[in-house]
Amino acid sequence: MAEDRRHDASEAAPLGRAAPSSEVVRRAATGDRAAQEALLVAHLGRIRRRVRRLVGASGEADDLVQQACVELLRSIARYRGDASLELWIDRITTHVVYKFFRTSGRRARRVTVAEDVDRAGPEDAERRLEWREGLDAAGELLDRLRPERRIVFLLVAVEGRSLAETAAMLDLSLPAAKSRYLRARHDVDRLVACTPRLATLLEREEARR
Amino acid sequence: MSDCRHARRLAADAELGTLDEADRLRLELHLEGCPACAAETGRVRGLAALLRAQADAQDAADADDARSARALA
Repeated sequence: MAEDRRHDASEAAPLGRAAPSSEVVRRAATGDRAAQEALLVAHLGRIRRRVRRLVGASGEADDLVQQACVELLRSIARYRGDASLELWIDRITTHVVYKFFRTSGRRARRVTVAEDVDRAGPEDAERRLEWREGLDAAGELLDRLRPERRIVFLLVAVEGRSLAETAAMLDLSLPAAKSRYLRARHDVDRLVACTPRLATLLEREEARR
Repeated sequence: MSDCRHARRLAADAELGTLDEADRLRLELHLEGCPACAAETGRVRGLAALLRAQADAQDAADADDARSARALA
């Protein structure tokens, strides 16, 4: 969460690629295909990572990445440089995912990938099974949150966004963003408490820390 | 009860990165003496940690895939 996991500004640099210059951005805004391609190539990894963090291994992730890319090219002419390009792209990606949460119903369900559990989870096979069941339950839990609370909880809890960043991502005032987070937090607690397999897993993991 | 409501807001502030040092100490003191609030905070932060671990694993898997693709290119 934000208190111990401030958003890392170094993420602004796309993996292994130089950020496009303002000249590339300007040309992309005029419809220059080569510049648009350069813009997408430079930021595709970041967009993909953010979509995956917000929706998990959902089968919809690739479609959402594509939608975010289309939206980026469609709106790049409106980019004025008053925020970093990365933050601006993050806002576009967030809005695409939020719209998905509002319109998708149960398609937004996160999928637990066994290989991810093997990679991130404990070495002990029995605990890994608990993790997998816990992540399945977490996916169901997120599915039950209202979309506006779900997106705020994910921005704070999974991405480590601060209040100011979360508000900026969603075009909210600081009090409105905080109010949504408080409600999301309350819902999450209530849902975890009435999901025994998840509550038990979280208690065990906390006891191990 | 109002102490618990205040503690809940402080816990949220901590998670949102807006808690000052004095309030951090107040929150810690309250959580030490209030099992209900401590459990609630544990559930919220525990779920966040679980989801982050999953997301980090996805990132690592993507990075591995990208490395493999570059090696094969």
